[in-house]
Amino acid sequence: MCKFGKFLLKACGVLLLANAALFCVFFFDLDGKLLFRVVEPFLKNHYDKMERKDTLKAPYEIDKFPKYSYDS
Amino acid sequence: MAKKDIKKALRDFWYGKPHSAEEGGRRLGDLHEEKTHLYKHREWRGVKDTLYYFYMIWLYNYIFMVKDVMVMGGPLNFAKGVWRYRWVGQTYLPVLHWFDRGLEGMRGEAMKASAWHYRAMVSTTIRQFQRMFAADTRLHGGKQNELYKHTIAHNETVWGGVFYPWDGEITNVPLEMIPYFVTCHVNSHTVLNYIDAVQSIGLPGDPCPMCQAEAGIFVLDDVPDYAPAVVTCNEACDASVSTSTLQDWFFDKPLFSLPMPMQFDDPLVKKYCAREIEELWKFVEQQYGIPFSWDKLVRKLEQQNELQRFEWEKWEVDAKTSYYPINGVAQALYRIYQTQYGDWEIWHVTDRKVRRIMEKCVSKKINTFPQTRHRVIAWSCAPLYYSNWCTWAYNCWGLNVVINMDSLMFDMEIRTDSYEHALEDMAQYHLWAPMRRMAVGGMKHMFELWEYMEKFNCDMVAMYDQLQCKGVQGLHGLFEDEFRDRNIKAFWIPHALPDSRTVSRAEIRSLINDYMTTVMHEEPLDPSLLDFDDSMTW
Amino acid sequence: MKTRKPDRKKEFRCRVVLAGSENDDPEFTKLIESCGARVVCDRYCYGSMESRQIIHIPEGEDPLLAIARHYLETSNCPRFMPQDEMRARKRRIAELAKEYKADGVIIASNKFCEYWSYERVIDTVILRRDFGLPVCSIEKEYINSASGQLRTRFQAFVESVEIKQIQEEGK
Repeated sequence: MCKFGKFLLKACGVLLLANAALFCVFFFDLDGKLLFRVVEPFLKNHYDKMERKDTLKAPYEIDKFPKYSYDS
Repeated sequence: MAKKDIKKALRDFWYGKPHSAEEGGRRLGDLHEEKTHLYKHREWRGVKDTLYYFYMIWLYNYIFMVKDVMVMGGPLNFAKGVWRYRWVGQTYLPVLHWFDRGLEGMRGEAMKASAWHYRAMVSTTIRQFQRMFAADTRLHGGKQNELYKHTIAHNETVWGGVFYPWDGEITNVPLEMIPYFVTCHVNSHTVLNYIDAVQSIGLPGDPCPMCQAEAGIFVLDDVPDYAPAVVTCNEACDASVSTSTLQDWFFDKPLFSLPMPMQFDDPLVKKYCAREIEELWKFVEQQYGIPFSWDKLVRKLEQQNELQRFEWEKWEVDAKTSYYPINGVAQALYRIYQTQYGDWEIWHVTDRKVRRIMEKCVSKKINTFPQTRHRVIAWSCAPLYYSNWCTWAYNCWGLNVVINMDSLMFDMEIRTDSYEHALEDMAQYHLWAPMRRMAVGGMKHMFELWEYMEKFNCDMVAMYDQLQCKGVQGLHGLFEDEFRDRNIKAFWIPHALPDSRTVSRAEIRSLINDYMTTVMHEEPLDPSLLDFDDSMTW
Repeated sequence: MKTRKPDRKKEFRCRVVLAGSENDDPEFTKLIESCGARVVCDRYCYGSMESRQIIHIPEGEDPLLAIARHYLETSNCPRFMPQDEMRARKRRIAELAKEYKADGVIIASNKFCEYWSYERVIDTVILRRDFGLPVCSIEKEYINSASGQLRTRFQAFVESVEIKQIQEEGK
């Protein structure tokens, strides 16, 4: 078989394997399980620990914005 | 193994197991893990449909989500946004599971068409949050870049169409659509942080939890700083008005409040509504220095009218045939998303795809929901954390939610022949906004339910009962009386909009199960779906 | 000590502005006053600050128009949404406290009144932080039924105002 033919065969083989692997991930919901059990808990922990500014300390300038009026 | 069993096994492999228990049903409930509702394995829908789901829904959406992120703002902004904002990381990564829940048990053309609706919503969601991140000063060292200067923030209940005159120059991104509204559907736990946060600063627990959550995002400092100005609104109710006061404090930017009149059928009131829209336009011109464009407004309105005309075609098929290929949840969410956000290219692309599928179903007389026992109309505000209850209801009981109240909002074209006509119709459009006309719009409009039941040939009503909605609460008794007087089969679905703690999904299912067994004396199509624990599910 | 005349006993221990949503229950005001706080100014929906002001009818103007203008221009109901209005409402309460020489503010929102539920959250923070006013923030029923709990709150508030006054006098 020529080089190109062998390359084509190899490429098909790789594609087939990739397809099969992806199908397994899909069929056994491995993406959902990974997200639920690993990714989400990690991110939730990160968000819970994040330092957040105290929004109650945000300034409240009474006269910051002009009086609203309808032009005729 | 007997020959008959082998034949059945082969048939089940090729076509997928049949729906109902009588036929040796598929038992969808057995696929779920306890509590988490993750799949032990995804449903085998037969060779054709499973491969379609794998390639054209699961893989397609993953690939195109990555493409959307790359094209609309880039992976770096995305990564920064995920790291900074809870509502992205905790919600939008498991979005394919949202597809799974909404499309559970579906086959054939109904699966395909409903999935395209989901795809459109996902794409628009990515577009919005990527724009937020790309313009966000917090992710760019405090700098206000060009995107920031050409973005306007607004309440999710402000119709995106009011910004059509600045199409291409100013991008409107709702403040709460992505951080709040869509998160409730995809991961019901995220929003609970925001509700708790706003209550922790003294807000009582009785206001509408939607508005509580909208304010809570600000309390937790979880809103990107992506625009120099904001437009708020009193739609749909008092709580929206009040949320504006908190948002004003925390956002601390020039704010235009759009108070739409609450009376719906008075032509004088429409005049004031139109005036408010013009005031809004003046505000946008003043803040951004970009003039109003009548041509852009006309072009976008006409494109929107095209979407509305197709929606009417869909209703025609839905009302008069059993060939309508969109399930209840896809119909409701897509419609409200599309109409509230406004015209966008993805809606037209999706509609073209759905049109082809629908035309195929009509021409070949494909019964898209063959196990339909009852045609149901869903009325009032739906539970956001369990929007896919209709998928479960069809799978378990054959209840096909053919139309819902939110879909019927914004039910009009907008004239573009003159400025006055366009403005008049836009004012009317606002008066017909979600949760306005049919939820709190007065007796005449709330009782449009009976006309729509007849129009869509429905024999049953699923009446949502948002426990913290002051508007509809007072009418519970009136609806009960009318159901009795008109001899209408109706069941109530109590819920607290985004808050899954008040009425759990299991409780909602239990109420429907009770109704179907004790009142309707029916047997479930799939008994494995009657009772299961999904307390921890997204 | 023998010749010292005792201080004149105060009729009330502190003066308060009562702000908030609907209140047409005189018993509620009596409850506050029975705890030692004199309500010197009523800025709630049916109070004199909100609804018993003079309506000026300019010469030749239709009275109905004058009434409409009055409501639009003078109402402090939190349903008014212009940005400057949202913020100015807080200052108006502070100004009333100053005008009526009040020692503190009681903000009472009715259960299910969305407007005042949210307004109260902001007022409680801003009036304390930016205007230095002691604030008692409560939620009540339309007809006052939880009088025991409210009494405790008001008594505690009056005491805290007194303590603050003593501390300020001491400085």
